[in-house]
Amino acid sequence: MPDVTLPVRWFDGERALPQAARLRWADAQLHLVHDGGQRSYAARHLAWPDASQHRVRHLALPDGSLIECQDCAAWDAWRAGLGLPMSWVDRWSAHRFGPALAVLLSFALILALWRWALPVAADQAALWVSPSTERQLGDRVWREVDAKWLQPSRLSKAQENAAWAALAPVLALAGPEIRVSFRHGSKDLGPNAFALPGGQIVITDRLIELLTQADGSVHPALAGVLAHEIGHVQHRHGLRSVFRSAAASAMAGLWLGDYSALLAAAPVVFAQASYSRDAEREADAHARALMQRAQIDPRAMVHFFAQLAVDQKGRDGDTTYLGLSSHPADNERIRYFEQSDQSPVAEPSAAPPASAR
Amino acid sequence: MTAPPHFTPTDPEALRWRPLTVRFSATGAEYARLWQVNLFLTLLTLGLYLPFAKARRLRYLYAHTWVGGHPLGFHGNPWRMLGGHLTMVVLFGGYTLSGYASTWVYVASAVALALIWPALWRAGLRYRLANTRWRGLRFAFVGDLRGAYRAMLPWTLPPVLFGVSALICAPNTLAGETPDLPAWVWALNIAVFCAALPLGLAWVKRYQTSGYRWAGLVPHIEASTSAYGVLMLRVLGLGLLGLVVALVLVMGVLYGVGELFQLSRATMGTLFSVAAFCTTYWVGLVGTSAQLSAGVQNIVWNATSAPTLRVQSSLDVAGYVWLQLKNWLWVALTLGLYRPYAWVHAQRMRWAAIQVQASEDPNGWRQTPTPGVKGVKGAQGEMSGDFFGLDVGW
Repeated sequence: MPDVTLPVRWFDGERALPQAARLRWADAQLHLVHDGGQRSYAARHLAWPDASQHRVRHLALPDGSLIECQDCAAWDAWRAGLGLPMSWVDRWSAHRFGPALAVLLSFALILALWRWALPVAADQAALWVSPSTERQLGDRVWREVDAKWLQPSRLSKAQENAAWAALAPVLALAGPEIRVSFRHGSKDLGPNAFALPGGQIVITDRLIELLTQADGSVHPALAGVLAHEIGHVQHRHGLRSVFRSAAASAMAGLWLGDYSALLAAAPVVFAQASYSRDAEREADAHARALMQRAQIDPRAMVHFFAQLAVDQKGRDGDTTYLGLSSHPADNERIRYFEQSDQSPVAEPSAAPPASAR
Repeated sequence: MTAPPHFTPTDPEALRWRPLTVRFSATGAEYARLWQVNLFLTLLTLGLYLPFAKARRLRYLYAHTWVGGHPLGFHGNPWRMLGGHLTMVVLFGGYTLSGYASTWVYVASAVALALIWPALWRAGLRYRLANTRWRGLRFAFVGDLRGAYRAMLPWTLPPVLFGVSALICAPNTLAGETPDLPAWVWALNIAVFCAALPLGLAWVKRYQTSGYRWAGLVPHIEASTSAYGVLMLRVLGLGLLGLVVALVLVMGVLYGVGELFQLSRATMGTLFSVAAFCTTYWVGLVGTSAQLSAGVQNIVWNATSAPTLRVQSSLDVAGYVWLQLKNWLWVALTLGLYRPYAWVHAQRMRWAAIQVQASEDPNGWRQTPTPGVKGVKGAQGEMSGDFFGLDVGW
């Protein structure tokens, strides 16, 4: 090993005065020679400084003193001459294409995590929440929503009875956790139905009116809508989406860090919408199976979409292509229900068919 | 430039203030390389690499911050920081998850977190300072635990008051409903909130700055609470004004585009709401937070001095806000890849505004034992920072 010395500046840790010193490497030890004497340090006690992006080399020594070398080229040459390797992270960031590769790998990793790991992890986390906790959570939201956004139903007794009659076949198959309420909603809410975690399902007056036929009875599509909402409850979509958006925002936070909460929020909105579309497809699959079990032709749903289209001109128009829509396009959903054959399906909670995904 | 009023010189020679040049030598391209590798390793390890990434980033930042010809240095041990990192993950993870259990558990864990937060904050300051060096001498943070709790007191008042008023006026809050408070109670809450915000900032900054030590230098800070209050009012006023102007401009342009391309009403509605959201965020949040942090830097550093060291900050607030607005735009356009460049540009502007002067030759300064910090020597110095290596904040 060549006996090369490197001139450096050295701070003894007691005084702010830089002192001239020389470094020498021998017998796996660093020897520091300064005016007052010599000190030696075993290699394993040394944390070599980052090299690649710094204009100074700082080596903090175990005794509290500090080596400062501002001639980085000389330091690096000296260190390389001794055969002391740089850390692999340091070499990676110094490599010409290393950081670019890191960016590519990061993108690939994010996509993979996003697509596969994150939903599974969030769904697993949701499994830890007991049904009673889920119901508590949902009921809390329900009280809030009911007080703030909804009014008591304004349907006549006859309309209500007709609606219950239409729902009966599906309700008979539903579990005890399913509770259905009719409510009068705002104009924006329109003909609508939604489910809360734990089993509370709300159907708006407007939807029932929309599906009321000339003879006063309610079209069986209403049962299909209920079956769809039951699907959301059974698959615990509300809870899962809470966990998914939490996990997505944690990941977005890693990527964008402190920089900006909006940038972190945007991917979450997109992820949320895409998960939500998946959830709608899952609920549709559940609805189709449940309707078949209740001896209702799933093609009744086609009527629902047709009525909806009449009610809301321009629906399914402009937002889907932005990836922001919470539901799949109506045409896709209509096709899905049209494809149903009428043979009863045994198990409604089975995994949705591949075509539904 | 005159000496601070509280300082009465005994030796006229000591009044020969000499500048210590402050220089920030980092470049965006260089830092980007480091950041990109850090990012990948952090993602790959699902966040476990974060303390190592942070140590590398701090080493880079400090090594490029030169004062009087010598750079600062960060020498924290990332393995010890990993312990602190995991502690924080457990604490905040537990807090977040407790929200799914019940309102009571959530409130209890929020209170517990608030109770230990000042201690964590102080531990972080101690660790960071104990591992920062300049000219081979360690910094130290000597603020005591009581002081940390006292400094944070104003900020705990508004939530406590809100909780108490909700319990008294609207007991159904605990069932998870939004409290329905009388108008005067709301007014009282808002008034306390508005007073506590600048007061808390003043106390926190005073505690922080007066706790710093280096070579026996004891900083003195003389910033009044009203200075922060005035700053916050200005930030609020200018922020709102800027927001209105920006919204009008953006909506006007969008309207023109819509007319030009004959876009449908639904499309325009979506575009308008997305644009309004982004603009509000951009000007309302990025702009005002830049304005606030620049203002705070100026207030704090211009009010701080030590007998033989003076610091001044003349950060151009408008320039800094503009820089951050541009930075943010680029970060958004590059899906985050501009972030390291943005960070370096912001740091550079902040450091360039700082002037340091000393009335003594820095070569003569010596490490002096600081009360409350034992054994700040050698590797054990890290221990004094804190056992867990807590380094709070990113």
